[in-house]
Amino acid sequence: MDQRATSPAWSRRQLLRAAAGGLLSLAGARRAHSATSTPRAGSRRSRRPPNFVFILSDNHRWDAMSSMGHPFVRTPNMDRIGREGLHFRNAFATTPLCSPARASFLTGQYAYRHRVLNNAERSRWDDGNVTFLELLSREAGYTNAFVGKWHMPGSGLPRLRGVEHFVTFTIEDGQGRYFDCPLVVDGREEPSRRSYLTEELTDRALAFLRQQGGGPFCLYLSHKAAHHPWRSPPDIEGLYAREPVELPEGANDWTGFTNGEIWGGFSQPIESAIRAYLENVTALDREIGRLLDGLAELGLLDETLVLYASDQGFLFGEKKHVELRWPFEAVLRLPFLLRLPGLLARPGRRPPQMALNIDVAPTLLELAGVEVPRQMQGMSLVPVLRDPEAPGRRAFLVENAKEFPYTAPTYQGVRTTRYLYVEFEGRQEDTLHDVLADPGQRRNLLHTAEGRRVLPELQQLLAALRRGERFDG
Amino acid sequence: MAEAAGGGKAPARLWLPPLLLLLLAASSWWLFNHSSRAVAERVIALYAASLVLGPSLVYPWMRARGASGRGALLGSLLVPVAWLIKEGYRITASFTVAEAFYYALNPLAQGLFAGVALQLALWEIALRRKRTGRWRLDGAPGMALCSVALYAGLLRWVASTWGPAQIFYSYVALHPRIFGAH
Repeated sequence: MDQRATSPAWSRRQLLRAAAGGLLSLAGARRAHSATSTPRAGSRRSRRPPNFVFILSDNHRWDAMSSMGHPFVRTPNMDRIGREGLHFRNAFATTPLCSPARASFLTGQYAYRHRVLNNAERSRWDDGNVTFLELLSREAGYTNAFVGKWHMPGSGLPRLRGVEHFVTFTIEDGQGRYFDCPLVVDGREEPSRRSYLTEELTDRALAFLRQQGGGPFCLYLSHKAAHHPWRSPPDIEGLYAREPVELPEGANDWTGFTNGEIWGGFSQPIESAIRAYLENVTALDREIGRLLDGLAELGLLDETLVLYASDQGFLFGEKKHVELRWPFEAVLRLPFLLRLPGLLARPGRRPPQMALNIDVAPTLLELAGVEVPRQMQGMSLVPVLRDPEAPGRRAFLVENAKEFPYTAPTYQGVRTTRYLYVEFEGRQEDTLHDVLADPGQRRNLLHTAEGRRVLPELQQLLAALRRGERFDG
Repeated sequence: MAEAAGGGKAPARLWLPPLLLLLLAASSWWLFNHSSRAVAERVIALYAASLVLGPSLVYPWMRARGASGRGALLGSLLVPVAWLIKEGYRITASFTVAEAFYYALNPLAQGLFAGVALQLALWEIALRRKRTGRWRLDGAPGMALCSVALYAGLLRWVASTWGPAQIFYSYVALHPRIFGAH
């Protein structure tokens, strides 16, 4: 397997740009048209490739949206993307941890292949990794920007091929800070112009969008929200202070402190942490709304695929964990919403097919007309976008590599449409859950009759996934 | 603090308070996983108080009843050390025993033991004052106060220079340099 990239075909990209620039006036006319019309599903095939805006958040749980029936959180703009587009109800992270998940989005690969195994410094990002941004630039002439949280292990910042504009931050081990976060803009340190980071990143994203002429572009907007410490702008902080919070079964306000997860991320009782977290999500949602409005004002909204996802969820007391990393539904599941009028069949539906973090890269590449490299392990979701009945994948690999001083062990597992079977290293007992019948994963089926019946097939699937086999459809 | 109180051999009953606190801590480790939320939260609050403030109960109680400084020190450390052993054992589920020892040096444990040292030093100084009528900072209490002050100053400097989270990140970054990558 050769993951190493060759140097970008710069002259070819320049040629494509020149061609795109020559069509500027036509593009302007088309924008005016697209802002006032509703294209038919499938009609995009004959047009130029769409622009991409990929909004990635941090630790945003799949159920922390009003469209998921949450009792009080307000997320009208995320809901809008799902309502006007698709809201995948079975979306997952293959590794429920920030850095590996982020690398999986970029490379379309499982962690064992891209080698960002956890957040630890020794598990560093390899600049030889090929990202979809590089391929979009090299093979389809896209102009790309990466704005926001990079947060991969290793000192310094990466050499991201195919990215023309790189805005990020390195402070606090790459986590950044919500207020007055110093930035690194194309290699130079700059102060934030806005006090609140989510607003600053949105401003930077909008500035990039305004600079786009006629050629296709891809904006990778990676927020710190909704990562702890959850702080929101003054007009949102305290918004949910009086809302009643229901904790998962068996959890109490101090779970985490008492369960060996004092590094889980916050030093406050869970109830108040959940409120602060949801306020943070609402602050993020507002900025997503501002970005959508900006796209509309520029006449770009209906020719741009807007994809919103999170790197993983977060456990707020489920199974007595206050953490990431563990193989439980609340942390494996993602919000995964996308909008692109004209491409999607039956907008507003909630496809049952699985969508994974590793699927983003092949999906965007196929939409851009770029051949998906063999080393990418994800599956393009384009068939599902166009056809509600398209087959989905049967199973995927779930993995984690232990990281000091966190208590989650190394494991590999397989998640099918019904079961989650996980093999742990160390003292932790392996687990097998029927996540359809038991989404809270209360009953380990491993030593039951049902468990004994399904285990051999799951073990075979896991072995095959470890060998790199795929079960896409 | 290791200075003898001048009393003879300390009777076993002196160990009653630290052992009771240890029992409380042990029961809370069980209770917070197996009782109702309301009970669990109250027990945990009591447990946290015994962990952090227990030395201020145990040390003067033992010293006032004739325990040596060393004996009262051991009694005061019983619950914090038990807590650390429990957490270290948890770490051995995935890491080596050597790494569990490194875990014992984590910033929270450092803070806890700095707090214990501060309490014991202040109590010892107060007890000396009561005994001799003079404020005496010589010996172990003075050294403990200086160490805690230096430690707090260092933390403050790191936190104000790189942010409070840097203390934790530095501790984590040191781990692979000692134990290698996993």
